[in-house]
Amino acid sequence: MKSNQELVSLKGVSLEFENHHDRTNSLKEFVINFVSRRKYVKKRMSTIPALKNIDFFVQEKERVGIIGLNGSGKSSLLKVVSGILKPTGGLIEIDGSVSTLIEIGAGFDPEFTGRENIYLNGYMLGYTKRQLKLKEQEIIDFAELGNMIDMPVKYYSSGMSVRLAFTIATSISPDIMVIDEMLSAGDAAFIAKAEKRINALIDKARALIVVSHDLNFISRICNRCLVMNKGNIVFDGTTGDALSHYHALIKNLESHPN
Amino acid sequence: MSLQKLKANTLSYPLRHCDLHTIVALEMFLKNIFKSIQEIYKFRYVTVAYVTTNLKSRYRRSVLGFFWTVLAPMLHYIIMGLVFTLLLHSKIDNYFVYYFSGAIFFSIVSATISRAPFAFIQNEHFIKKIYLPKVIFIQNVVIYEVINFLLASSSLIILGMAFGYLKLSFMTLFALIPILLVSIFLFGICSAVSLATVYFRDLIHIVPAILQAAFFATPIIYNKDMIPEKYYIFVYLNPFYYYLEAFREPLLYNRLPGFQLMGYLVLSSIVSFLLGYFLISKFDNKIVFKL
Repeated sequence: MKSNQELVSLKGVSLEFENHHDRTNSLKEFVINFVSRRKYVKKRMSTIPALKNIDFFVQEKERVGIIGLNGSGKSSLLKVVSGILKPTGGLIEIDGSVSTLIEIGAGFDPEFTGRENIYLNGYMLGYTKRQLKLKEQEIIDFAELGNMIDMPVKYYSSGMSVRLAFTIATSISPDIMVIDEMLSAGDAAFIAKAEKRINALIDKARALIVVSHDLNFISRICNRCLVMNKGNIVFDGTTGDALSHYHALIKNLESHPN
Repeated sequence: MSLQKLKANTLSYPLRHCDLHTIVALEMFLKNIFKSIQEIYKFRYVTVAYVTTNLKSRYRRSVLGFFWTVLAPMLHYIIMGLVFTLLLHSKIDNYFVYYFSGAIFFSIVSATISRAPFAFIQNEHFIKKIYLPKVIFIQNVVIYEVINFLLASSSLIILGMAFGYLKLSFMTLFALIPILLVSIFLFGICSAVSLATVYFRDLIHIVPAILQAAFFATPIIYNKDMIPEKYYIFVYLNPFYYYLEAFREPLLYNRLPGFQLMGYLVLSSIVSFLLGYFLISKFDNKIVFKL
């Protein structure tokens, strides 16, 4: 019974983005519009469905890959699972700690030193003080920063800050790991090192959800794969079947655009 | 028969049904508050790290360090203080302390509110990538400014004592209570301003002008008795007037503010805090789409 427990369960989850055609981001315009009684809000707003009524369950020891074309809702699904976006409808239940690696490298305060950012960023990811104290030196060593760790992050090269961000985010193993297209920066040597680190982390995690356009990576790591298209899950099954479904989808799109 | 009785019952007590709803709603509300307090506790170190690191980086930037960064914003007040002392000194006794207690008090108000529009906007990259309760960002601003204020004001109190303008007594400590209350009050204002700026970006330009007006609408450089009676209404409508009165009483006259005044302060700070909290939790999910 316990092995069959659902770590992540999404029931009928949908997500809509509001799209304001004229973004009245100024009070001045709002007041002018209000005074001149122009009705503009209702007329010029549309919603874009990013996720349509998604049912998605992840169980213990599952490594789920999500593939799909750009704008198919993959990243939205990850953001809903990790709590960054709240869905417009449906139910979410998550059992365990979630760690999210989404577009890393931007979560730093440039005025702070690398060491200060380890703590600030670590706390934001939900780590405790004790965990971070233990991991501090290991993080500095793995990110190959040396003395630079006490310099403000604004003086770092982009490679350095990506290495640091990656190392912080992967320093503590969560129950549920959520990864979105992350191994895109750093030199080849670091990427190899990083993949090893991720694999070790994945082995420890109770479940993994990963979005990638790197189909090799998906087929190497995942034992289950979803294909998403236009906010729906169109296929859910083994990785091999999913890849062939995905290729068929692309071919279909090429022969019938739109 | 029993059905009829039941019907009669429900008809004669239509309120009962309503009561149940309010109880359920209240329970949900309390549960939500409890959950978010838990969440804030979980992320408490974010605020600790933010505040300490910001203070450190603020004070290490200059050679004179702490004192310079404290005195720099005060220079503005010193100039104004000198000018107004020359202009109005005869009408208020101990004008210098009168003016400075007002200026110091207003510095926490203006520092906090002028940072408020940036609370969400500057942290866009965090909000879009990591889940954090949004209250944390407001809390960071208010706590940082309050601690900054305490550092600045304690240095000014030392200066005031050194030059013999101020006598420190047990009563002086009481001035901390209005400061605590005004920071709770400011939490509510900050929430509203931060949230509104997400929707109306030009508030960044409007807020400083409003603060300038608020500075003159609060009896800092003048005494309430010095203005015509028909303008009293502006002073009475200004919430900061009451906080300032309670702050000045122990500092200037060495006595406790009245019960009625303190009651008003406690009530207004709690109402403002709850309103701000309610606003933030209401818009918690929408901010990320608007940034």
